[in-house]
Amino acid sequence: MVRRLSILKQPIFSTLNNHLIDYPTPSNLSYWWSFGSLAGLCLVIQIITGVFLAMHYTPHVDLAFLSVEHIMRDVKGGWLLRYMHANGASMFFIVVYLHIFRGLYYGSYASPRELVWCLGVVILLLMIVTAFIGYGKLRQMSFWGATVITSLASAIPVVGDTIVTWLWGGFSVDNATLNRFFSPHYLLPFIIAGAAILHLAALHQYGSNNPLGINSSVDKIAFYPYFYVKDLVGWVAFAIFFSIFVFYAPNVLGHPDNYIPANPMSTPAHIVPEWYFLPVYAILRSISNKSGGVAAIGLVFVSLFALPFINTSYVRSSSFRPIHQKLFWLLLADCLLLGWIGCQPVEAPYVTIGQIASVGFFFYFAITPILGKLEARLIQNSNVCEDLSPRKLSHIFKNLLDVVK
Amino acid sequence: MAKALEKAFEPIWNWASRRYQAAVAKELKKYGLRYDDLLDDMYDLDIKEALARLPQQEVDLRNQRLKRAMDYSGKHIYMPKALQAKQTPYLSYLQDTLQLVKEERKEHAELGSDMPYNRAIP
Repeated sequence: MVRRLSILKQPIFSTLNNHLIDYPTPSNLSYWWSFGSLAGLCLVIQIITGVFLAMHYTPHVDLAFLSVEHIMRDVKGGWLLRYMHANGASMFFIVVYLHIFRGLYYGSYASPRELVWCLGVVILLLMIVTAFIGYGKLRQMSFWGATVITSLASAIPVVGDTIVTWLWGGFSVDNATLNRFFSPHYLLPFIIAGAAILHLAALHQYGSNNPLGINSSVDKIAFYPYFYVKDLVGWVAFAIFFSIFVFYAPNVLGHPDNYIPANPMSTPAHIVPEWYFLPVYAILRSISNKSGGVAAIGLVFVSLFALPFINTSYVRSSSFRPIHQKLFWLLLADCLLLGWIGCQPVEAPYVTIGQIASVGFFFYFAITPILGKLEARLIQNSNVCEDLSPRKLSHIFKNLLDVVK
Repeated sequence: MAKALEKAFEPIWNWASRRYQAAVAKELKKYGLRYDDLLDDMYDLDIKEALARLPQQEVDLRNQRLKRAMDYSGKHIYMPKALQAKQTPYLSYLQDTLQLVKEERKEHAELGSDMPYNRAIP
C-alpha cells in the first residue's frame, strides 16, 4: 500500500493506524464479530444522549418526574433524546449479550484471551450498575425496584443494614438516593469507556479469534477497509433496528407503571426490573433465603470470570465440539427461560421452573472443566478405528506382515 | 472392581467415541482440516514447542491446510464432496510430539525446575 501521507507514521496517528487501519485481522470473521464495535457505538449514543438529557433533568424528588415530562414535551428534540437513551440502554444490552454468547460459542474466552474476557465481564458489571442507578427513582417501578435491590445489601452479615442506610442516604429511597445515584450514573459510562479501551488493548495483544477457532496468523488482512465496511453494514442494520423501537415502539421494552409517579404508600402487584436484568432476577428469586439469592447472583459473575481458567478444551470453536455445541444451545434456551420466569409472579409452577432453570444455568459452568477432558478422551479412544496415528498404522502394518510371513 | 466396571462400560464408551469422532470428522472434512490443526500454539506453549520440533514440511502443510480452511470459512463454502471423501482428519502429526513435550514438562516439575518457556497472564 503506497502511503501518500506520512502523518500515519507520527506518534499518536501511528497508534491509530496500527490498531484501526492496518491492524491484521483474521480474514474469515463473520458478522458475529461486529457486535464489539456496535457495543462501542451504543456507549457513544448513551453518553451523548445522556449528557444532553442531563442539561434538562432535575435530580430532586419533587421535580424529577416533571423534568422528564418537560424534556418530552417542551425541550426541542427532547422526546428523541429520552427515547434514544431509554431504548439505547436496551440496545446496548442486546448487543452485549449477543457479543457474550458469540464468545461462548466460538471459545473466544479461551487462552490466550483470558484478560479480554475478564475485562468484558467487568464492563458488563459496570453496565449493570449504571443501568440500575440510571433507571430513575421517582417512578413506581423504578422506586420499588430500587427499594428491592438496594435492600439486598442487608443480607451482608453485621454491616448489611448500615450499608443499606448509607446507600439510601436515609431510611428509604428518597431525595438523597436520587442524587447519590445520579452522580455515579453520569460518571460510570466514562469508566466503562476506559474499560472498553483496556478490553481492546488486551484483544490486540494476541489478535481476534475466528469462527474456526484455529490459529489465524496464516491469513490476515488489514482492518481497513474490509472490516470497517463490514462493521458499517452492521451499524446501518443496527440503526434500522434501533429506529424501529425509538420511532414506532418507544415504550414496548419499558414498564407502563413507570408513567405513574412513585408512591411509597402503594406497592405494585409485581415488581420487575428492566428486561435485561430478568435472568439474574429469576436466579435471585429462585432461592427463598435472601443471603442465598444474593450469593447466587455473585456466583453468576464468579462463574463468568472463572470460565477461561476452568476451560480444559484445546479446541475452541463449537463447530468442532458437538457436545459443547448442544450445551451452548441449552444454555441459551435456559437464559431465555430464566428471562421469562423473571417477569412471572412468585408462585407455582414458576418457582419450580425457575429453580430448575437456575440449576441448568450453573450446570453449564460446572461441566466445563470436565467437558474438555471428556471430549479429548472420546477423540483419542484408540479402540475405535478412526484413530490412524502413524504409530498405530505402523503397528497394524507390522502385524499384517507377520501374518503374511 | 474398577477394571470390571471399565470392561462393562467399554462397549458404551466405544459407541460414544465412534459417534463423537464421526461428528467431529464430518465438520473437519468440510474445511479440509485435521484434528491436530485445531490445536493453536497460542493456546498452550507446549503446542508451540511441539510444532517447533516438527519437520518444516509438516509445518508448511499444516499452514496450507489452515489457510485453505480460512478461505472456505470466509467464503461460507465447504470443500467439494469428492475432495472431502479423501480427507484424513485423524491422521496425527502432532500428538506424539506433544505427548513428549508434556512428559518433559512433568519431568521438569518433578525435578523442581520449569520449562524454559512459560506464560504469565496476560
